Amino acid sequence: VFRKALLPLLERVHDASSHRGRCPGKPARMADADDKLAGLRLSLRDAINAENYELAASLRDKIQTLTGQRDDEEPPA
Amino acid sequence: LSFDATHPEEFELGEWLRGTGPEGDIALCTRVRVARNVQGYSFSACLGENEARELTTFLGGHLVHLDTDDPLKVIDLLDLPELDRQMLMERHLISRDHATSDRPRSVAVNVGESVSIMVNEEDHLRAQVFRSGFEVPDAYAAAETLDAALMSALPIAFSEEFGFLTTCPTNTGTGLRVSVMLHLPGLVWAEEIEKATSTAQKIHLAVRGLYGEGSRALGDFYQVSNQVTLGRGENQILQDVEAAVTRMISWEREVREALLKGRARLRTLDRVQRARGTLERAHILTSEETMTCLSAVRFGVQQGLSEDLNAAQLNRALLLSQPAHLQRLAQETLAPEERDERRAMLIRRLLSRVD
Repeated sequence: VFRKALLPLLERVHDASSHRGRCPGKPARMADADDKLAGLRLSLRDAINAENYELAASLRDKIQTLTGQRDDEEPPA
Repeated sequence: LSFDATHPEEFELGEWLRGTGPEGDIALCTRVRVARNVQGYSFSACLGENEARELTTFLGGHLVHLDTDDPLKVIDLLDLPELDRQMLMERHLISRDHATSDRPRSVAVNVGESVSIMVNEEDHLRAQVFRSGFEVPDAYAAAETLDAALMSALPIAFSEEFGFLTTCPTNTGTGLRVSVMLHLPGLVWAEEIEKATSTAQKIHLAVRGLYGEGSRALGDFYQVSNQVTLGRGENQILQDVEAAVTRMISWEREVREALLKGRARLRTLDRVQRARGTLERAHILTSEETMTCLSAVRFGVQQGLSEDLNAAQLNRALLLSQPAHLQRLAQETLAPEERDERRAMLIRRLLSRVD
């Protein structure tokens, strides 16, 4: 009912508009690589905004490790 | 529950003040809470008196039989005397709002006070788990188990798109709030605390006082917690808070070291010993002055400057010097001036005896 009215507010508060976390009655989605990657990217942006470059570098490495793994899994073109 | 005691030594400190967890010299405790609502009832803010009563009874009935390691005791707050409600708040088992509101509501607590579930607070259920020290993974694992028990017993409101539905949009999504309570006298004394808190705020973390929302940072205690609950998975939220708190703890350690070197050392020693002198000699102590002095003395104990005192004594002093605990000890209602006298007496007694 309130979806339309609440969406902009949710976006303003959380910078996001949909859930990425556990769901009742389903196995934990935390291991899901997509969620992990999206979360890491958000944290990286925050770290850069906060000028916390130490944290940003470690996050960048983690993202590279994850995306690297995925590239490896793709069949060669 | 242990808050029925009437002698200072009989009081259990509760999980949050046990003082034994990792990084316990700086991190007092870790708290993980989830906000949940059940289908079929309006959000708490919109419930009429009768519906609220019905909801509280319904949920209380389920919480008594909840599948947890430790049985929960459900306490009806509507019938509970004000002093007892205030004691529950001082022990962090309920929020200030839950202690003072007049709507039907309750709280479920285990004996060790490591679990508390507020019923009909801002949300139908606010389930929280405490762990001594900086212990995010363990606290979250316990909260997840508790949450799973709630979900298998009750029809929890959930949307695929928005996650767990909550009264306030700031909790929607995971409904998860991870907070670590930190003692940061070094950063305060070195005037770096504002820099530290604004850095945390830039990465969407909230920094609040000892009693959460709206409370001041008395005694140099700060709570650091996540603000974002939507668009990030639980793991990410845990990692963000852990990374920021790790950074703040190491910052605090660096500053403490600097405060004990060179010319700064004498000033620091002076500050610690003056505070101790006040606590040991004063005959009138307000709670604010007590917290300020206890903070300095705690710093001294943690840095090995006062070897005849220990952290457990100070934790006991911290808890029991609060208004409701003082009045429970005195077994009577005390006016603020009387409390200040009693507080001074109690602190003198607690600091002169080694536990």
